[in-house]
Amino acid sequence: MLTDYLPQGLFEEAKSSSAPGRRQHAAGERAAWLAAVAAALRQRSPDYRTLPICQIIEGLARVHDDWARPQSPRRVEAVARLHAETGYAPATLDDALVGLFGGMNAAAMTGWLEAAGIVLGSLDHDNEPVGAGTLVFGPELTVVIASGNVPVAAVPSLVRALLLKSPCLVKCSSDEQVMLPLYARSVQELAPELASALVVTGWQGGEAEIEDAALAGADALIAYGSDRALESLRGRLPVHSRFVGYGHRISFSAVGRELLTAAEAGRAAALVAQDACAFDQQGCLSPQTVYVERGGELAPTAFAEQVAAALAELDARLPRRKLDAAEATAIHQYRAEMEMRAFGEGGARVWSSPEGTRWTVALDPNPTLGPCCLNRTVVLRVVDDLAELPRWIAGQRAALQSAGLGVGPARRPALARSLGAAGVNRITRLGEAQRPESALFHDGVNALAVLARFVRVAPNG
Amino acid sequence: MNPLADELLDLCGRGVAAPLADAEFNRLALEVFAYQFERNAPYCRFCEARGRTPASVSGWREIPALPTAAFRHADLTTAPDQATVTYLTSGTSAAGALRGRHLLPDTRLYDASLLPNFHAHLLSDGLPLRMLVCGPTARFFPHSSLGHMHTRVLEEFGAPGSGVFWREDGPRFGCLAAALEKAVAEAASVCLLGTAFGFVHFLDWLAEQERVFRLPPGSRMMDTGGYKGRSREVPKGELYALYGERLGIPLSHVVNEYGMTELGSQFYDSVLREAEAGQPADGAVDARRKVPPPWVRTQVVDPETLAPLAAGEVGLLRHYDLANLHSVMAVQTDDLGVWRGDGFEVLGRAAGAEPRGCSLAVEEIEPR
Repeated sequence: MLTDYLPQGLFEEAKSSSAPGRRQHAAGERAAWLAAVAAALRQRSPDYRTLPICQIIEGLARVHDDWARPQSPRRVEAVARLHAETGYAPATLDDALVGLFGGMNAAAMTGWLEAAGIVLGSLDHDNEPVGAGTLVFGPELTVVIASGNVPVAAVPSLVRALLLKSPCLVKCSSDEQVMLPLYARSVQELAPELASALVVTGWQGGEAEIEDAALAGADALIAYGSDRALESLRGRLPVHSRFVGYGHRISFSAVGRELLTAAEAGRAAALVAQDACAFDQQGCLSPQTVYVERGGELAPTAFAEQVAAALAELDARLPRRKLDAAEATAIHQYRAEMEMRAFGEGGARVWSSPEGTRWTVALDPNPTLGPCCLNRTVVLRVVDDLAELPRWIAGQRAALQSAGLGVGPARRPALARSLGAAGVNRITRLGEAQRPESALFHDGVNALAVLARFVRVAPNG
Repeated sequence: MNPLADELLDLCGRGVAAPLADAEFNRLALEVFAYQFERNAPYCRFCEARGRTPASVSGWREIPALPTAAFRHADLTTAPDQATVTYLTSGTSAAGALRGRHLLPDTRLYDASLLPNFHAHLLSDGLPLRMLVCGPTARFFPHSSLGHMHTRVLEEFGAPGSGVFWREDGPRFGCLAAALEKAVAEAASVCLLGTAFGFVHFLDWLAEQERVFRLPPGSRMMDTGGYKGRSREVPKGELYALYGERLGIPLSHVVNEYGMTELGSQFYDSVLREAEAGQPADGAVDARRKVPPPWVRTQVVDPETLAPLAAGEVGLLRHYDLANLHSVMAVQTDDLGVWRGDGFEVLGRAAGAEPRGCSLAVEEIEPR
C-alpha cells in the first residue's frame, strides 16, 4: 500500500484527510486535494530556490551514496519489498539499485548540469551579482508520472527536477509503489532540507479529473508510459509547459562473427542470457532481438544452443518472476509458431525450457526487428553482415532505444555511427543492457536542458 | 475407404445424448492420434519433439495438444493434397496479417458433428422455426467455418420463411426487421443466428428506429463470439437483457455458441437443452456452462505448465475433438475457462499481454 510522502507542514489538513481509506475518496475530492498539494508545493518554490546548488548536490549525493554503499540497509529493504511486489530476482534488483545510485554521486550530478550547459552558479540567483550572464530557473512545479514495474526507471527524473530547484510532485506507478516512496523517505531522513520540495503520492492512472488537477499547475511534466498514455497527457498539459515523455521502447543487441569463436562465444552467450534475465526483458533497455552474424567459426545454431544453456543455468540462480496467463500463453503460442516455421522454412528453430515457459531461444530467419513476447525469450535473427542492421531496424525507428554491441574494436565506431543515425540512442556492450552508463541522456533526451529555463542578462550600459 | 472416418461418422450420428465411455473415447482418440501422426507431417514433428508417438502414448491425456498459433504457420491436415475446403480464422486476434487455416478434404465429418449437436442445444423441442441469419454464410464468406455452419443449419432445419440478412458488404437490418415483423404477424417462431457483435449493431439500429419486437413464444437465438474489439463493447449480461427488451427473447432462450476455426466441433450453452429436459434454468449469464458432445473431451490447463487443473480453477481450455480427424484432434487454445460440474465456462482470451515495464509490446504495434 502506498504511503504518501509529503514534506512537513505542507498542507496539513490535506494530509490528515487523506489518511485511511484514501482510495475510496471520490475522484473530485482527490482532485481537490492534489490541486491543493500542487499549489502548496509551488508556493515553496521561491524558498527552495534560495538553497545553494552545492548544498542540493551534497544533500542528494548523501542520499545516493547511502543507497549505493555495500550492505546498505536501505537497499536491502527496498530489494526485499520490490521482490515481493514485482517478482524480479533480488540480485537483479540489487544490481540495478547499485548501478542507479552509484551513477548519481556528486561528480555525476555536477556532470549532468554541465552537460546541459548549466554553470552551477547560474542556479544560485541570490549569491550572484546580476550582471551580464545567464540565470537558470527550473520549473516552479515539475510533475512526474511514473509507470510500469521497472523500479529504477523514474528516479533520475526526480533528481533532475530537484537539481534544478524545482519542487516535484510525483505519481507512483500503479504497478510498483515501493521505490519512489522509499526514495522520498530517504531524502526526508538524510537531506531534510530538500524534502520540502518533494511529494510522492498516487492516484488511479487515466482518471482525467485527478490528473488534470495535478497537471494544471505544472510548468513541466515528465511522464512514463505507452504512446497512447503520453499523447493523452501531453494533450491536457498547458501548452507552454515543458514536456518530457518516456515511451515504451525496443532495444536489441548484435553479436559479430569475430565473437563466434570457440574461445569467445560461450562468454557472449552468457552475456546475452544475462541481458534477457535482467528485469525479464520488461525494461526498455533490454534486447528483444539479438542479431547474429553469419560467417563466424561457430554457426548461429551452435551459438543459439549456448544461449539456451546459459539461460538454463541462470534460471537456477535467478528464477524468473511468475507470469500471468496472458504472458505465459503468449510464450506457448510463440513456441508453437516457431516449431511450425522450423518445419516449413529453412533456418527457423526453437529451444524451450523443459518445464513451463521459463526461457525460450528462437532462431528466426526474418531479420526485421520487432517486439518479442518478453520474459526471457531470446530471439536470434541471423544476418550476413551487421552493417545491414539499419535496414532491419528502420521500421521501429521511433521506438528504438539501446543496442548492445558484441563486436571487435575495429568495427565498433562505424557501427555505432550508423546505428545512431538509424535512431538508436544508446550503444552499449553485451550484458550491460540494464546497466546504463548514465541516466543523463535517457531516450536520447537531455532532460535537464529541456526542463531548464535559461535567462540571458545583458550587461548594463 | 476410411474405416476410422466411418466409425466417427457413426459415433456422431448417435447424437449427443448417447454417452461415450472413457475407455471407448480413449480407444478412438488413440486411433485418431495414430492416424494424424502418420499423415499430418507438421503435427508429427511437434509430437516427436515431445517424445510422444503412438507407440509411447497409452492414454488420450498424453496426446500433445497443438497451440492454435501453429495453424497460422503450417498446413495442419492429414490430406494435404486433397484439401478442398479451407476455413480461415478471422485474423482479428492473430498477430500480424497471418490468418490461421483449417484444411479439410470434405465437410462430411464436420457436418456429422455440427448438426446433431446444434439440434440438441437449440431445437430439441421440435418446434418448426424460421432460421434468420445475421452473420456470415457460405455463399458470402466461403472461408468462414461459421458461415458454413450457418448455411448447413439453415438448409437442414430452416422452416419456410428462413433467410440470410448479412451479405459480403455487411448487414441488411431493414430486411431482418421486416422478417421479424412478418414472423410476429404470422405468429411464427424464429431462431436468430449470428455473431454477438452483429447483434449489438442490430440492437443499436433498432434503438435508433425506436423499434421493439415481441417475437412469438418459442423464439430463440444463438449468438457467437467474440464481440470484444469488434464493436461497441457490451457486457454479456447487459446484451442478453437487451435481447429480451428489444426482441422479446427470454434469457432461457439465448444460447451462446463457442467455436473455433481450428476445430471440427462446437460448444453451446446448455441452458435451452436443460429446460427441455425438465431442468429449468433461469439462464443467468454467470451460471451457464457448455457441455462438450460425447466425441469431445475438454480440459482446463495451467497457463504456465499446461498441466490439467482441478474443477473450479481458471486456466486455458484444451480440446480433444475426435471430429477433427482430418486436422489435429488435440488443440491448445488461448481461451481462458473454468470447469464447472459437467461443462465449462469460457471467460475470454488470455491474449494481449500488456507490458509490465517499459518495453514495447507486440500488442502496441499490431494494426488496429
